[in-house]
Amino acid sequence: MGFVAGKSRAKMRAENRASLKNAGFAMELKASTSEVGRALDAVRSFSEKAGLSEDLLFDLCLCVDEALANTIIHGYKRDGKGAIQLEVLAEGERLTLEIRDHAAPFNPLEAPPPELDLRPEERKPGGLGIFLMRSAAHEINYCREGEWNRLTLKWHLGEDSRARGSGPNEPSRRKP
Amino acid sequence: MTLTIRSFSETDPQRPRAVRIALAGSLDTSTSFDLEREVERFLQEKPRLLVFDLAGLRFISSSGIRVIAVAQRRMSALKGLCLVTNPQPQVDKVLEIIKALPGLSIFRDEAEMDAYLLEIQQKIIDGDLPGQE
Repeated sequence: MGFVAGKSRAKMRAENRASLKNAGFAMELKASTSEVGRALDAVRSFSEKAGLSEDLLFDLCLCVDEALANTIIHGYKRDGKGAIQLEVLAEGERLTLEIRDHAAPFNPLEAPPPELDLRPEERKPGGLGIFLMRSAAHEINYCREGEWNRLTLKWHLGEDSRARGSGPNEPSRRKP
Repeated sequence: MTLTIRSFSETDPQRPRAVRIALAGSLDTSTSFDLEREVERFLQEKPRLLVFDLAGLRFISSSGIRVIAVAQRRMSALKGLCLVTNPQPQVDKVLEIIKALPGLSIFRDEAEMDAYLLEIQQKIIDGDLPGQE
């Protein structure tokens, strides 16, 4: 995994070993960035019911934000109309996030990794968000079903988060 | 969760123009525009120092990081400094993973930042700032 700032790996494993309460929700969104806030509020409310740890909630929110931002900004060009379906489900030791949209086909798993040496505003659009999702989730799958893109992200409790992360970064301050 | 932005502009004529923007809550795709607008407003004052205080920030996504990165670039063009302080562990974790802000100064707390500022204060007053590239 990457590193877990401010929290020991043992403590995090212990937190993640606990099972989730079975809970879930589904909602429909339009292609407007203001809808992301509504989705995140729903995720936080769900988290209280499902008993997510703070780290797992953060990772889930990160993936919801980044996936919706990609769909709304790049897929639908912020048209305010495009339909997005969001579904989150906690069952036992598994947490699943699924996002469906009918924008143009786009497989984020085929996107090249971001050029981290460049400044964020100089990087290709969408690359950072996809990189963060890959770092935060344990498993990501994409498929095109008819007119719909379907992106599924999963977390398996008991595994360290960011198992597919960017490597053993050490926390460090960055000064000129 | 909303984003709360508290901003202060120092007007002490004995000190270089400085702006502090304290963030609390969630800096996400739906709130980052609010910060972008606030940053733009303060950049019109051409500050020499811009500080983002993240003590109260509980969530950040790449949209929020992008706003801070653009502010950093703008401050660099103004030959000023852009600093980030007090990132909470989960926010710091994202900044580290994404290596989001190359060249930007991030400090654990106020004391660490103050020590750094003290070190370069004379350079700031003299207008002889180090490059931020």
